[in-house]
Amino acid sequence: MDKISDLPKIILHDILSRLPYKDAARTSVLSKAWHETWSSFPILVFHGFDQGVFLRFEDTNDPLKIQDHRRKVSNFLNSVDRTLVRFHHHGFAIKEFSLSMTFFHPQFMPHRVDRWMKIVGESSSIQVLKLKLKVVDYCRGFEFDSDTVDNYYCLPPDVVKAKSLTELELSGKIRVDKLFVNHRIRFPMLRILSLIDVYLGHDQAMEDLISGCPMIEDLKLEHCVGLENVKVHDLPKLKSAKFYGFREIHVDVPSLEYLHLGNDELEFPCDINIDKCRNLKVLLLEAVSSVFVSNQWLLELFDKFPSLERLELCGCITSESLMISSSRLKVLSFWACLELKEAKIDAPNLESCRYFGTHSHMPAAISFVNCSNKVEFDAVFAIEFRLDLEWLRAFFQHIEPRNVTLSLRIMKDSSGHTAGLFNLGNTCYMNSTLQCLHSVPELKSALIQYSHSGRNNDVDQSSHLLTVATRDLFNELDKSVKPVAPMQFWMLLRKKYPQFGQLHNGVFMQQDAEECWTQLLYTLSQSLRSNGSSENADAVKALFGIELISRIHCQESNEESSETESVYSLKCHISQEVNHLHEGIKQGLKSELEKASPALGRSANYLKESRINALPRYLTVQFVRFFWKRESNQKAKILRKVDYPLELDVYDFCSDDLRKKLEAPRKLLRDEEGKKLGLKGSEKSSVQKDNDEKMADAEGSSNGGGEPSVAPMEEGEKATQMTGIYDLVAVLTHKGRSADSGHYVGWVKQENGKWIEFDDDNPKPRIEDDITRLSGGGDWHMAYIIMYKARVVSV
Amino acid sequence: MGSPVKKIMLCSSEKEIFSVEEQVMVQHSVIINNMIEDGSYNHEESKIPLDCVDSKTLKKVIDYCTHHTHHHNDNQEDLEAWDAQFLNVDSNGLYDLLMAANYLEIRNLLDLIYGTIKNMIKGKKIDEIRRIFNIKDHGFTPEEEEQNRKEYPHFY
Repeated sequence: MDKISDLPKIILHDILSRLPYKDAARTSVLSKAWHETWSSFPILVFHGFDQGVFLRFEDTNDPLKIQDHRRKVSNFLNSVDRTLVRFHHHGFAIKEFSLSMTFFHPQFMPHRVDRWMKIVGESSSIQVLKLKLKVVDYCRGFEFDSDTVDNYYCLPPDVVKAKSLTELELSGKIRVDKLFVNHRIRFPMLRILSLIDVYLGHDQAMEDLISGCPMIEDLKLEHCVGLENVKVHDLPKLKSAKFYGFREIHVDVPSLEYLHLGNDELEFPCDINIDKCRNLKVLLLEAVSSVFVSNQWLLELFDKFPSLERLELCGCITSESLMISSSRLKVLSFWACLELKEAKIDAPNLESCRYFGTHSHMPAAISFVNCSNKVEFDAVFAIEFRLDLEWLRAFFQHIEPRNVTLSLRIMKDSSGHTAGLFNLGNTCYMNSTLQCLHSVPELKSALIQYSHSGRNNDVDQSSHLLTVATRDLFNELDKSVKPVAPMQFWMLLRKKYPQFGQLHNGVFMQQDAEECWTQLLYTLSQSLRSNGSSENADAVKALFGIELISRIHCQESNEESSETESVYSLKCHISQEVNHLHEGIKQGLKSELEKASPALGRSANYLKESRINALPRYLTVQFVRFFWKRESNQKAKILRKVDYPLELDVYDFCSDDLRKKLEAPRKLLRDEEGKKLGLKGSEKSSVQKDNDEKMADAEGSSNGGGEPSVAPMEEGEKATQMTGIYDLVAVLTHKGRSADSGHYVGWVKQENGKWIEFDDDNPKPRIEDDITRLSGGGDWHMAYIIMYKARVVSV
Repeated sequence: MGSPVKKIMLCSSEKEIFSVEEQVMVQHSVIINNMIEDGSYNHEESKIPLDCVDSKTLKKVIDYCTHHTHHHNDNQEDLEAWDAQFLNVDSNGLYDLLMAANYLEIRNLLDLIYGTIKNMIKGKKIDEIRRIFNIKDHGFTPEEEEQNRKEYPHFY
């Protein structure tokens, strides 16, 4: 027998505990002796995802895959059962129990987990307990609102018996509030406590918990439901703390050395009071909107915390110019602090400095006034598809003195809107709609201003929730590099509009993207209207609303009337005569209708001719490609090719009043562009850029009357005027034979002028030629809804 | 020559006596440190019997402690290279060293050996580990072995 296998179990366990769990687990089949060693290894780790127990989103409609997943879940649960019962039966020590599952079922699983917690809680040697639960938000036949407290797992009181615990980590849908009812929590040995997303109930619960754990050295609290204000004191051992997502943070612990504060919901002002943490060495601030980093703030900071060695600012609002002066500082970091234009660093003991820049903002000029020659400067730049070398060169040239060691990293930008959306089972109609609307920055800013508390009574709960879900999803798309699963949004969309939840053979059906687009805009318009202040009366209408004035004429009686209406899209009719968007829109603005004629005393045919009376910031055109075919009982598709331009002039469709108003701005635009073309031959894109920057603008005074007024979203913005000229920014295409089948894809122009094809979770860069090729006429993707952005001039 | 260095006597399982600088062993071995501190070792007549450590292993242990006492100011790379060379032994030799280090409570030698054994397992396939540890008889019945191979094919 080899001697290593013969080592005492306690030594082998020590060795195994140093291995990655996967490698340690593998030794169980090495030999009989190792198998025995493994079977009493006191560290028990059950991670569903790592063990392959998960269901891919694209498989949620595949009965075979679902069955396979169910079998895996059941094997997983049984193996936890068996192991714990064996440990309990033999009286083996359990030092660590770590359980993570993404398929927690609030109906069937709590009893089992309770049983496990009982065994673990009774083990006198348990030191580490980690529990991470995610409620299944969707499985066939069941649907859970994972945010409802009833669906949280309620941590049983058995856990409280584990007095030997040194580390407790709870994350996900776990409810701990009930532990406080009859049981006073006391973990006298606890050193590390981490609560992430769990339900705590109320602020007092936190204080109770902390007061029972006097030895805590490391405390991490993130997004605890029911806990808004964190107040920490009386933790004499506390060295390190992280608080994320709270309204108020008061820390009064002189022993604290490391503090990480963050807030990803920008609309919450976060009240921070940490003045008593005199020994703070490390401070990390992440998107804390209530902090304005100015020279004054920095001065006070270094004064308040004389030991501060490391300062990291991420997504913070700063002055344009900063002077950082500290003799203690060793590490300084600016991550995506976009306002920062210039920083002078006077820190003789600085060892490392980090700067993270984005593709959208000119990097700051950084110089060192007084530094040692061992400073390492780590510069990271996020790029989308290309790198602006001019910027980079300027950045390097600004760094003074020259002997600073510099490393440069270039990474793919996460803030470029290139994250795809997973298909949740025939949901490409929804994904493509979302990607197109997500490209409208003004819609995003309107959504950001929409806060949880702002719900007006005029808006029903489901609209409110759908609006919040849209906001959160847009936010996630902005932040993520990887594809996003729009689960929450999808659930709430179906709740609000049950027609999208139609099943066919147990599978969600493909839906009409146009319906999704219209309904979503309608909902957003409702909730954003009631939410905002009076000047921001109807953000959606201001962005997308097209005001039409129509003349209704009866040929028989010569009666004539006029009416105005507001619509969210123009229709492009497709007939034999239509080859181009222009012709289609012209036809779409004419219609025949039958109505009662007072003069004739009977119903008669009327001709309705509409003209645009007020222009939107974003002009949406829908190609009427689908019609109801009675014989096949489905929406059939017209495949005819209809060309559309990258630049659309709608002057022809405008009413006389509007034309008059457009004349001056159009002349101005022509002059401006002529000038630019004349001066700089090929730099057409600069015109584009100018316009993009003025995305938030107010209507000029000459545009009175029935104009929808676009409220200024940023103060100090110059007033701009519509010109009737539009640039194509998004195309939603359909491929296939009917609206309720086939495939939808969104093609979206980025801020940098590049196009991206969003085919669910697979975004691809495209060129303009690809976009004009989507005009139909074959079996290729063809434009169904297109969106143009207004080109404006400043006055 | 300088002042005489205080020495202690260690006696291997073969009753071979090794004379070592006291400071070297006190610094590294918790057990010997305790013995010196509580006065249970008499410099005139005592020798420390290490009945479960053979001469070959004891010599290596002393080598390790001596080198790490006199070269602790060397740069990290040189020390690591020396350690690697030092642990270039077969798995039985490693076992003996581990047991000795465990008995004498030499924490940094234990960590070094644990690390070495860890690396013998980490990221390796079962067949490979069996070869490294020289496991000739795994003790599973042919049925059990077949079952394991079927259940965890990626392990092998």
